[in-house]
Amino acid sequence: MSRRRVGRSAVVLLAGLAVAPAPVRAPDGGPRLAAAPAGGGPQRVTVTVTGLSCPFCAYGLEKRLRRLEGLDSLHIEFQSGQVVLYLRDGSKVGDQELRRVVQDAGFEARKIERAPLPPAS
Amino acid sequence: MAPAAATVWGQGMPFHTPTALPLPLAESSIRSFYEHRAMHTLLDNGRAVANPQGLRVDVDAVPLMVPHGVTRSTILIAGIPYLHKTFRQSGTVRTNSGFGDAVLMVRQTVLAADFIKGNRRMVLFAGATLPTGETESDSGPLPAPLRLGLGTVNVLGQAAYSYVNDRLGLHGALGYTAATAAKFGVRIGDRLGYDLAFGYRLLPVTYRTLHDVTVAGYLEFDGTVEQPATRSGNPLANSGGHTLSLSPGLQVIPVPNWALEGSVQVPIVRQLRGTQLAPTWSLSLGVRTVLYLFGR
Repeated sequence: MSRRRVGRSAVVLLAGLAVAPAPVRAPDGGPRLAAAPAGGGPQRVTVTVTGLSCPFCAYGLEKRLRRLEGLDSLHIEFQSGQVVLYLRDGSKVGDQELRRVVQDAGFEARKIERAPLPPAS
Repeated sequence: MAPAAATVWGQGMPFHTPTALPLPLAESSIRSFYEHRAMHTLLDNGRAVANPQGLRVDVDAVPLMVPHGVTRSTILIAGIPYLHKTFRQSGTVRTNSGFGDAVLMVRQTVLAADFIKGNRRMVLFAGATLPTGETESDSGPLPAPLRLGLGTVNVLGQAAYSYVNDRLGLHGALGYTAATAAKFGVRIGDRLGYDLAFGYRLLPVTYRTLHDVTVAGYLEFDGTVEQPATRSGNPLANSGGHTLSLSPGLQVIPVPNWALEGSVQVPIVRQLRGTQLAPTWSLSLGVRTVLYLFGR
């Protein structure tokens, strides 16, 4: 391989590392995964919500989240205060929209974590 | 003898105590219940005395309350009761039925410091009761026990605090109601209401899903300190005083947006001025639901 080609490859490699999203650990402590931005493939999004103390209060949050486009399923875990959403391929639900929906339901989104899922075969 | 606005119109998860728990933006809740309130005990300066005339008042009330979230932190509340009153004296029974005084309130969240599995919130209420309840008949003023309202606009202000941590809940409220005018020459005394409620989730021990059936027990202390009514600025002898009730209750949430609840109130303090009929006991059974109709 010529020096010019090696240099060009190095530049491309360094550029790729600079723009690639920082790898994060999956919410369940699994292996490090590349963080998936909104609009990517299927994702598992974990939103940590404060104030979920009873079903009567939290039901409004579930109803609003179920209206999100591209939502496959969701699960609210009271014990950890986490709302786990499974978004389909192509979903454009961003963090800002998630925070707005949570706030409209009367709560606060403390943390949002995304993890890509393998595409459905 | 109309129920104090602060205690009849209690909002939130304990039966009588207002809470600071959230209601989603642009959603409405409906609350209604049946309450029977018995006033069979004649007191003279706080001591039970003989009741030779057999004075008894029984009130059957069905209030309807509709809060609606107008912003993320502001709720408008409207409500009105339907009342059936029975007054017994010397073997004579008289009744009167109809709508009581309507109430309009604004609730504003001023503190929201929630945490995982819990709430720490404070709200302020401001509003008024409107004289929609009947106070006179064709022949003149109704006897006080048969009036369906107070006959005047009453303004009210209240603060409520809620602390919920997983299975435990603590709610407190302090409210003040004041008449703006006299009716039939008598001005109702200002009223201070205070409530303290302890809640404990009996089931489930831990939630597996949002849709698990919830059963919770409550123990409330609901008190009222009322200034004497006045005529031309002079206090009336047989009016005003301090009452405090112990109110155990139970609530079942079979599905996340419906709650069935019941409570019994037993008076433990009845320091009434002069000679008055005092509350003996009351029983309340009701439902509440959140209607998800308008949210985006």
